[in-house]
Amino acid sequence: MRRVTDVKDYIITAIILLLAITLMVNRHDGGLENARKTSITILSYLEKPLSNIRVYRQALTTNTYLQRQNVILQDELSRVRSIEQQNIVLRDLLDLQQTERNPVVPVKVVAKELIGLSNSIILDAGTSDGVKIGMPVINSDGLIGQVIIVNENFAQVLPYSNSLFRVSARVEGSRAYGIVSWQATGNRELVLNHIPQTIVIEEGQLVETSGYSNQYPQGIPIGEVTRVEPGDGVETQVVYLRAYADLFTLSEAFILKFEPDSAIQELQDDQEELF
Amino acid sequence: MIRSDNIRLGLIGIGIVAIQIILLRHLKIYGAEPDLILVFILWLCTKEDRTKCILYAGALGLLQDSLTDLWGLNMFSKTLLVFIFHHFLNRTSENRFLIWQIFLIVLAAAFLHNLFLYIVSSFSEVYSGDFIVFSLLIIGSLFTAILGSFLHLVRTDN
Repeated sequence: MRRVTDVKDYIITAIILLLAITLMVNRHDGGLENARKTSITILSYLEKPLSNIRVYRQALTTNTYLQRQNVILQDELSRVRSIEQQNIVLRDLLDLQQTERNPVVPVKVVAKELIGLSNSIILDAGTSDGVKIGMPVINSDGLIGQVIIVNENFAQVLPYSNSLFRVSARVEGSRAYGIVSWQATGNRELVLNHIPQTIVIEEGQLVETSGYSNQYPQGIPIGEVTRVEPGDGVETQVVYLRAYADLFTLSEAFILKFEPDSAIQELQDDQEELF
Repeated sequence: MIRSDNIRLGLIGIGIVAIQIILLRHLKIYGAEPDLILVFILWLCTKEDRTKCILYAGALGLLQDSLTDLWGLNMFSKTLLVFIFHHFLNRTSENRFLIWQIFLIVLAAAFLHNLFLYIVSSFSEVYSGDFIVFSLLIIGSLFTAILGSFLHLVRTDN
């Protein structure tokens, strides 16, 4: 009898372990989308009361920060206004058309996991607000991440502190382009790769989205250079950045209603098909 | 009677998963969180037969995974842990342990569970297991052992 029970246990364990492995493989291959959508909906409803507490707790800190930002922005605004006037005159002269900025959706953070195995953020906006997969998420400091799953009312974001995160970036003041990723060495430490060693990069330089990936519009601040190291055995250097946006204190953000240029997307699809 | 007992345990399990997700997931120290679900499953191992414990471990692990987007990781680790650890826990459940002995048993189980979790997460490239290896294996296990010992102190035997 004991032997039969043991065999039964072995079989049940094997079935459960196989099921778990199937789930892991599916997750790795980007599957389980419907199950993940359902799970973020349930999680969002569970976390919503807690997120309100977090929002209130952050309110004081945010208030002080915003007051300081306000003073800086007032000063900047007066300078920008005069520059804008000058810009309008110059654009008229050059007959350039003003490019339209992408609209934004203000959102609240419902849940976030930032020091776990799989870092993610859930926001309280979904397809009913016009949010789509791939849209960038920003705040007043800079880039936060990209929407990866969206249902009617909620969206899951892949933050910059996730090992799957990649963004095409450039260093301000140079034509150096590279790929920014998170190497899991620190919560706000990012790495910019593929910059040739001939390009001089200095500490404190701003790194922003290049717009080359067709995933993010150009000019979103990502972070500033903290140190530069030569790459091992390659002719490129490794640039370390400190991200501007602090994900730990993040309670509100904006989803940028940016959609990839369809012509570029078609070209990329054609190229993938060709090769 | 058997069915009502299963329903009761199932509901307690769901409640424990909810507490883990809503509350304990946010009580992190150095990135580590206590695993109340694991403590519940270990307690279950002292009371129930292995088949039942394996099924509960799989089901609660799946529920935890689905709410933390770690599909399959906890399900795998918890099921394997129960499969290995059940005989020892069930056999020793008749003894009355001192608090430090409970602490060591839960610590060993939590360490083994977190080790399985780390190993299976390392096979997949979508998780950042290396980033939290220390907090997952050491602090997470300690945290779970402290929680388990505390619950052992305040528990009632009925």
